Amino acid sequence: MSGLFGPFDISASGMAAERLRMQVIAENLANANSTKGADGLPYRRKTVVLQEAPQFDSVLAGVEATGIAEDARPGRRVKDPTNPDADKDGFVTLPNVDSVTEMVDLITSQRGFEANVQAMNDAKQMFQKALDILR
Amino acid sequence: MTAIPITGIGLGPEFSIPPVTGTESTTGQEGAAGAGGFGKALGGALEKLAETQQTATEQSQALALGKAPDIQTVAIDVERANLAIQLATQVRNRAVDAYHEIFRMQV
Amino acid sequence: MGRRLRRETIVGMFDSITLLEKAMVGAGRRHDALSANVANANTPGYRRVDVDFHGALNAALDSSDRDKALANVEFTAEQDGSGAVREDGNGVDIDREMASLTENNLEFQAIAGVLRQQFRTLETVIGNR
Repeated sequence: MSGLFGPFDISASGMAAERLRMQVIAENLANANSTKGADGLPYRRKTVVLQEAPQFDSVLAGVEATGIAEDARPGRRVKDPTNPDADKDGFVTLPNVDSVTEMVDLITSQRGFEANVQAMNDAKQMFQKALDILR
Repeated sequence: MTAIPITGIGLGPEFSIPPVTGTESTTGQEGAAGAGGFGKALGGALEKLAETQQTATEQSQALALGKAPDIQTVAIDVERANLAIQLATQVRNRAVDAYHEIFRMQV
Repeated sequence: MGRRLRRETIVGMFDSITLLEKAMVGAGRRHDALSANVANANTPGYRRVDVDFHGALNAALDSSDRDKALANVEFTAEQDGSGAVREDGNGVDIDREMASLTENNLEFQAIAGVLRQQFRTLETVIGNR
């Protein structure tokens, strides 16, 4: 592991990645019904693109977010003539955000975050236990 | 010279120093070396001490290799060995002090 | 009074200390691997890694030149090809990783504790206690 604190860096990267994912999910949920954004189009679901981030001299990798992608799949078209954003046929295109999927992803991210916290706590305990040898 | 057996502590056989009698008369005490005297008792105690160290080493090895069946046995064996050494050291120190005192008594 | 191992035991306390020291290093490396798994629990295409440090130590003790093998023992993180894989190619089961983390942590602490005790015994013998 590079440096004394390699494992801490790996866990920290995991925590950061999961936090970003949770933020993006929150944004998706908040905009689940935004049929018209600044560009005049319905909100498009966002996802975080994750990738392994190898530590310099080691085979083991942390994780990093290389960007935020937009989900290009089209949203549902619903007949709702009363909606101000309805087209001439009375249909509205909703954002392609499915709350169930988002909630599942949210729970997964939360668990991931907690697991990284546990890993970091374990590393801390082990570090301290090793220091005890010097006592 | 009355001997005080340490068996009462209940730490295990390696902590029982067999009482030593100054004369040949047997007193029937547990593990008594009888007429053997100090030398024999000392030898026996050292052997038991060596055994505790050996056991502790074996248990540590098992732990490092993933072969220890449970952690309690390892922890207790290691601690027992450590205490045995400490006891032996204290006994040695007292014996050395006593030796010096005896020699100071010369007329 | 304690089970006898079939394998010939290491003589002496200094050898035992080296073995315990290497075991600690191994457990430390295993923690690093498990942390990497947890950090990448949601990375597409990621496969878990693990370090079999017990295996490496056993192999070192089985070799013809034990001392050398032990002194040079290496703990490598290997990819674990088994296990189910999700849609995105990720094979990490986060519950198992968390359980392994806890286990490994406790094992590390046990080894460190025993090592510490052996040092104390030596100190007593040397006369520092």
